[in-house]
This record gives sequence, structure tokens and C-alpha cells, in this order.
Amino acid sequence: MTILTLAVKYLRGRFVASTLTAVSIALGVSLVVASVLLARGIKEGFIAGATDYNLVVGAKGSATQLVLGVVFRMDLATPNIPYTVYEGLRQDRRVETAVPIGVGDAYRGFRYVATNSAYFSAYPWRRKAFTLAAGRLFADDPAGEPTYEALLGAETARSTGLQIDDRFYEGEEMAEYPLTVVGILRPTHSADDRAIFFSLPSYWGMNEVARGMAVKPLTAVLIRPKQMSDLPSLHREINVAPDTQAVLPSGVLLTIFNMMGVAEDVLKMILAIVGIIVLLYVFVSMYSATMERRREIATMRALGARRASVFGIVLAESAALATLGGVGGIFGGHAVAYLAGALLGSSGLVTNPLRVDVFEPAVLASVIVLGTLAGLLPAALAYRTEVAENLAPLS
Amino acid sequence: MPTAAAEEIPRLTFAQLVDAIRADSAVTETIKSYNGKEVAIQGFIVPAGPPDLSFFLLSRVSALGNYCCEAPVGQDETVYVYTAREINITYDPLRIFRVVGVFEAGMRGDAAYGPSLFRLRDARVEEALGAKIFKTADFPNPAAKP
Repeated sequence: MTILTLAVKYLRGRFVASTLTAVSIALGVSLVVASVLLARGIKEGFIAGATDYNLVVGAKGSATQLVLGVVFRMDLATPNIPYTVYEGLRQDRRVETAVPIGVGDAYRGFRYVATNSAYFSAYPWRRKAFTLAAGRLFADDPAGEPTYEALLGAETARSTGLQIDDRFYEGEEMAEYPLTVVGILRPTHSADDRAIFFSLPSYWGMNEVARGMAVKPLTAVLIRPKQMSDLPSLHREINVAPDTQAVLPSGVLLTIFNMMGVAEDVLKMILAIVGIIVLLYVFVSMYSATMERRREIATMRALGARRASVFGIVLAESAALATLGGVGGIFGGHAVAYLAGALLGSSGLVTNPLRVDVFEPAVLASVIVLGTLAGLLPAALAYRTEVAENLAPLS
Repeated sequence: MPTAAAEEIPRLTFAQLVDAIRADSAVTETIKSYNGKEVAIQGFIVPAGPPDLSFFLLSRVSALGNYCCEAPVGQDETVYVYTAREINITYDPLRIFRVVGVFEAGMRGDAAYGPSLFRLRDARVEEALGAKIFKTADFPNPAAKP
């Protein structure tokens, strides 16, 4: 019999205790893996969903609310700005592209986003590409002649079951202004998948207050400058104006990442404590097992087993437990991340929780090394077991 | 503590970059002589690109100091920074960072980020506490008063 087969036999001999130890390791590893995957997924989700535009212009107030509301549609929309702000920016010699945005209410939780066809245009600098899965874009209808045509994001269409030519509205007051589905977008893996797009005249036409306004309202304007070096001056000029603020969306996200970093540091400390507790549990389990079978070990020694073999058996047992727990924990962690990702899916932030990279082998190797080390003292104890002392009559 | 290798990297200031295009050709040639070499430049990070900071602007003036200091600057005092790998820093718009990368001078277009005059490629970012990026001539020495 080899050292490994003996170790496996011993583990099977105390099946319940071995299983509980492996499950404890697996739970600890699952917690670490799931936490890391979710934290990474949320951050990557923010990066993937970020806008290609370099500046978001909106009403004075919270920069975070403006970006979360306009780009990620995770917050209430900021107050309105006049349409003239968009017209002024469109004519600014430093601006290459300006896109007006009006964020409205929602249909079954999917936000209304009013804009024009420029929002969907392809530019050399755009990472995101919009392609149609069915139908066409809504018409850029002239002001005062709304067509109430709607373009659905991929997730909106999937969840609501709306199809081309379907008419829909939510709330009694909207019954007079139903939207007609004219197109469905392919997935973009961003907040746009959960939006309902239509034209600005339709947006103004649906709102009683906006219908009566001479200067129509907007929520924000997305800006792409001709030269990036003009960005700071545009930013400063818009911010010192009394009614508007300009925000660098990446700046807001980096601030959010900074705050997440503090939470991650606390989480790392908690996970380190969990890791220590699991290692102690492995140590106690192996120590108890070794103490219980000192007589057995002495018998093995009396029958010719070498000290090194006995040492190796105990180490192999703890390594096997750590391997089982580590593999189980990695699978468990991915399963937890997947379930949490599905729960957080409505925000669209968690991306690919099932991805495997260098992190998982590193975790498994660490668990095996640390688990084996936890068995080092019990193995030394087994190594030093004296035959004569432990084979003495029990009475 | 800075390493010996870090100390050997020449530092360019925004004052030198401005002078490079305003003074005679000799100065321009001096700046051009840094082309393709690793240099360090200190300034404020303007996150003009994606939030992973694979691209950003390095500016003499903070992007977010709306009511402070000097007016924002143009191409001559802005360096376009392209980073080699993920940047792991605590971003602070009001803090000066030291950025080390391969220097390029001269107007060049880029499909993603447009035309630029000065660039740093394969860049890495280090925090630069207490660094001074202003021209000393901007601040008269109070001790020099009669």
C-alpha cells in the first residue's frame, strides 16, 4: 500500500469527520472566491457599461447622481436643463458630437430614454456598437410632430415580450400616448439593454408640462470634444455657469471604485480571519485524529513502518482534505457568484461570474499548501510516536 | 524610498513642454531628443478615457478645481498618457501624480482620442506627494522684497 492509499483509507475510516473538515474548507474557499468574483464583476460591469462620451452635462447637483442616472440608469434623473444648453454645445467649435438625453419614467421597470439618432451612430472612437436585431431605429421626428415610436434594448424586449408593432403604455395618464415598437437592439452588455428609446418630441409630447413649455427640457447632454485637451476648459466653463454642471464620467466611476476599495479592504480582513479559522479547524481535526490513533500508529511502526511513512500519511491526509475542500470551494464560489449575479442582473453590473483565470489555480494551490501546513504539527506528532509507550496494555 | 533606477529617469516639466513650442528650434530639438526615451512628468490626472485609466490626460492644472488657481490649458500643457497595464491607484483629481512612460513629441492623430502634441506610452503611474509642478518664476519670493 502506498502512503496515499493509506491516507485515503484513514480518511474514509472517519468519514463524517473528514467530510465536515472538507466542507468547512470548501465553505471558507467559497466565501473568498465568491467575494472576489463579485467585487471584480461589479467593477468590470461598471467599466464595460461606461459611456464612450467624455463629458456629461446636466443640472447642478450630484455628479454621481448625474452619471448613474444618465449612463447606468441606476438613480433618479437629475433636474432638467433647457434644450438651449444642447444647442449651444452643438455649435461650440471645440465639440465634435453632442447628444441630447431625456431620462423619463419606466415601463415595467425599464427606463424611458429620449434621444436622437446620433446616440446610436458609429464613430471611430466608439467602443460600443449598436446593431438591430429586428425592425429599425425610431424616426428623428420634428418638434411638435411626435411619432411615439420606440426602440427596445435587448433585455427590455426579452423580459417584456414586446415585439415589433406592439403598442404599450404604463399608467392611466399615458393611455393617450402609447408607444409603438419599431425596433429591437442586439445586446450591448450595458444599461442600454434595459432601456426604451424614443425621440425627444415624443418625450415632450407625453408630458403635460413639457407640452406647454416654450424651451423644451432635457436631462443631460453627452459630449465628445474634437481635441481631448479641450476637455478641461469645457468642463470648467460649464461648471462655473450658474445652472449646469459638467462631469467626467470616468472620474465619477473612479471615485466609486475608491469607495469600493475601502469596502474591499474590510472584506479582505474578514476573509483573512475566515481563512485562519478554517486552518485552525483543519489543524484541530488532524491533531485529534492523530491523538486518537497513536496506538494504531505504534502498531504500524512495530510492524516495520518507517517514521517518515507515518509522517507522510498524516500530511497526505491533510493535503487530500485541503484539495477536496479547495476544489469544492472554487465550484461553490462560482455557483454563489452566479446566483448573486442573477439577483443583481437587473442592474446589469455583474459580468461573467463563471470566468476562470489565473486566480482559481492560485487559490487552489494556496489552500493545498496551507492545508498541508496545518497538518504539519500532527504529522510531527505521529513521527515522534514511541512504539513501546503506545503499545502498553490499556489497563 | 525611490530606487536608483527611478532617479535616473529624466523629468520633464510642463514649463519645458510649453517652451518647446514657443521658443526657438534649439529648444524644440531638446525636447525632441527625449523621443522614444522613458521620462517622468508630474501633473494632475484628467480621466478623459475609460475608467480603467488605459488612457488619460496629464495636465498642469486640475480638471476639477472649478474655482481655484489657473484656467485650464490646451495641447501645449497636456500630455496624452497611454498605460501599458491596469493602473492601480487611488484616483484623486486634486492630487499630483508622477507618471513615467516612453515620451513622444510632435502632432499626431489617434482614431480613439484625436490629435495630440505630447504623449507618454507604456506609462505607469506613481503618486507624487508634495511635488511642485508650477514654474518657480510664477511665485515671487517674499524674502526678496526690499
